[in-house]
Formats: sequence, C-alpha cells, structure tokens
Amino acid sequence: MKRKTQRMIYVGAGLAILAFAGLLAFFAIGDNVRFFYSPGDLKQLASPPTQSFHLGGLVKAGSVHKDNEMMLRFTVTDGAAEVPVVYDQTEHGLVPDLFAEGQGAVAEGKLGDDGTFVATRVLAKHDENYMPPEVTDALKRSGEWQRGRPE
Amino acid sequence: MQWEYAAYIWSSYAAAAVILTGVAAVSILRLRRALRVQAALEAKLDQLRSGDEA
Amino acid sequence: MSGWHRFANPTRFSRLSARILPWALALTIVLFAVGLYLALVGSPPDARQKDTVRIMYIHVPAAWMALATYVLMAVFSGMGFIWKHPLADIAAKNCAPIGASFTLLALITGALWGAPMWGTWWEWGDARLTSFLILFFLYLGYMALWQVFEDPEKAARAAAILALVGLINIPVIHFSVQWWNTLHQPASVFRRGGPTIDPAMLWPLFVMLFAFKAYFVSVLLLRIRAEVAERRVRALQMMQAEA
Repeated sequence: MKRKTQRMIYVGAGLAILAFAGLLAFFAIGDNVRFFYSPGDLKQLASPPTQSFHLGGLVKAGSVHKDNEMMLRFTVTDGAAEVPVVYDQTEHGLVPDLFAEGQGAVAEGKLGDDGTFVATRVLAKHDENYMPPEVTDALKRSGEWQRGRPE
Repeated sequence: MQWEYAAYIWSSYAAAAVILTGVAAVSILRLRRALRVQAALEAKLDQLRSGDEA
Repeated sequence: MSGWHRFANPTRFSRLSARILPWALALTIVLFAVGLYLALVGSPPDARQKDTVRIMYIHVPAAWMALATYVLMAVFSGMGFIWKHPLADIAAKNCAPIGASFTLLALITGALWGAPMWGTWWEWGDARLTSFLILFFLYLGYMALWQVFEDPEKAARAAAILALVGLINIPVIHFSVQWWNTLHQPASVFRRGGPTIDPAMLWPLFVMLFAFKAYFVSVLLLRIRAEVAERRVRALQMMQAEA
C-alpha cells in the first residue's frame, strides 16, 4: 500500500472515530448544557431545583405589573406550564430594554416555597426575527403578527 | 446620527476596523519584508555564482 | 538540489497570486465601502433592537467566516497531511491568524450587542457562547503548536491533527442553538423555512459577508506569498552557508 493511501486511511478513520466520540459525548452531555429551564421542564422534574437556576420562556402577555415603581411581577410561560416571577429592580437593577410582554426572557434566582420564582437577575432574549418597525406595524395591523416562541 | 445605544455600535465598528486593518497591515509588511530580503539574497547569490564562473 | 522541485509550485502560486491580489484587495475595499454604507446608513433600525441591529452586520459575517475559515484550515491541513504538500501546510498555517481574528471580532461584537440587549456581556452557561470561545482557543492552540516544532514538516503534521480533531466543534457551534436551551437566538438565515430577516437587512448583511470573504482571500494570499518568500529565504541562506 502506498504511504499516501495509508495516510488517507488514517485521516478518514480518525475523522470517523472522532465523529463517533462526538456523538457519544453529545448524548452523555445531553440536557446538562441547557442554559435555562422552561416552566414545562420544571414540571417534569421530580423535585424542583433548590439552588439558584435559570428560568426561561415567554413573558406572558398581560402578566407584567408593578407592586410599586421598582417591584416587578410577571409570569413566564412556555405553553406547557407557567411560573410567576418577582423581581426587585431597586436591589438588582433595571430589566434590559428588550424585556417585554410576549417576548423571551431568562430569569436567574430561586423558587420560593409558594411557587413564586424570586429572581436576582433578569435577561432579555431575542428571537430569530429581524424586521424594521414599519414591517411589524403592518403585520400587527393585518393581524398576521406572530410572536416568536422560545426554543 | 441620533442612534440609541450609539456607544455600543461605534465600539463594534471600531473593533472591526482595528482588528481587520491590523491583521491586513501586519500581513502586508511581512510580505514586503520577505520579498525585500529574498531579492537581496538572490542578488547576492547571483553575484557569487558569476564570480565563480569568472 | 533535491528539495527544489517542491518550490516549483509555490513559485507558480506566487505568480498567480500576484496577479489576483490587486483585484481581491480592490474588491475588498469596494465591498466594504458599500457594505458599511448599507449597514450604517442604508438600512432600517430593528423594531425591537433599534439601532443595535447594526452590530449584526459585523458580528454575523465575522462569526460565519470564523467557522468557514476553520473548515478551510482543516481541509488544507488534511491535504497537507495526506499529500505532504508544503503549500497546503502553508495555507492551513496562515488561515489560523485570520480565523482567530474573525473569532475574536465575533466575540467582542457579540458582547457589545449582548450588554444592551440581553443585559449581559457574557454568560458561561450558554452553549453557543462557550463553544465559540472554544473555537478561539482551538485557533490559538493551533498557532502555538506551529511554534513548538523547529521542523516545519513535524509542526505541520502535529498542527494538522489538532485542526482535524477540532473540526468536531464546528457542528456543535452551528447546532448549539437548536440542540440546547440557549440565551443566544436561533439561526435567522441558514435555517429550514428560509431567512427570518427582513430583506432590507438581509442584503446589507450579504454585502458585508462578501466583503469579509474578499478580505479573507486578500489577506490569505498576502500571507501565503510572504511565507513562501520566507521559506525561500531560509533555503537561500542554507545554500549560502554551504557555499
């Protein structure tokens, strides 16, 4: 066998083994790579996490209200379940400008005994849709506006 | 331009300008230097060779 | 004399690249001029992101090119490994600094977008962000490996193996936003069902992408020519020492 062919086989076999190892690693890592739990994910857990974790999903339309100027309450939903969230902006800072009803958000904090998620940080999530304001206005007017769902 | 978040946008374009022109400039200088040294060496070797023949 | 035939091809390459280079450089400048105009002036703000969407015109091409450059580097590495062609090794080697710059640029602009939009510069737990940082380290490791070995053939072989092994990270980066829950948004352009970017933003994005591509070709050709000349210099110095 020519050395060149031999090296070609090395590279081919190496890449095949690598792909296989990658596949194994992928299934081993599995869900541990999640950046956040959705409300539906939480419902499926035997017991909710006791430590701080990320809760992500859509901010339910019409759910955002303020106890006072800085105390924010809203509901995170993924269609399968909902979790009420409370966030103190005086203590932890204002929510990002992108934070809005019907849009994605990720909150970091702990689940309280009453089932309310006490957030210490709120991040806004952007979806895959990019369009100028005129286009969203037109879509909203024609009733074709669909809000992106979180992955 | 009255942009919201202008500082973030300009910083992004500044980073791009610095990194891309930086890499390009270094590459051009490297090529020019290499070609200069190569030409000098070749000239010197030619001289040596013609000296041998003479 | 035995090693000289190997410089035959690089010489031809140098002549060819010298002819292509001015055009590639001119194309880079023109495309960047048009692309920057479209990105900064000729495109609308986004409904939600407002003007920060303009960061995308740098961030997305840089990120795409970071991935494409890595794949090209791995292909050159494989060619160099199998056929032992020095020009392939040189091409692979000089892809790395350019790819690393694209990666760094994507990381920086991503942070500059994330800070005002997400409310965070960086999140360690995010699969897209973390896998992209690994790409940066792969580039750095590849470049470092070239420096470890004195003998360019040995260095090329070791670096090629790293480049090929690191290839596994590319699909991980691409699909990370699909496989796992991430803060990073899913793909908007290369996705099933077509792009979800308005044409008014998609065109400027593609012009910028081609500007980045022209830039890449220009700088890669510059660097390969430089390295070919440097190796020639080394060979000449050796000849001189022998004489």
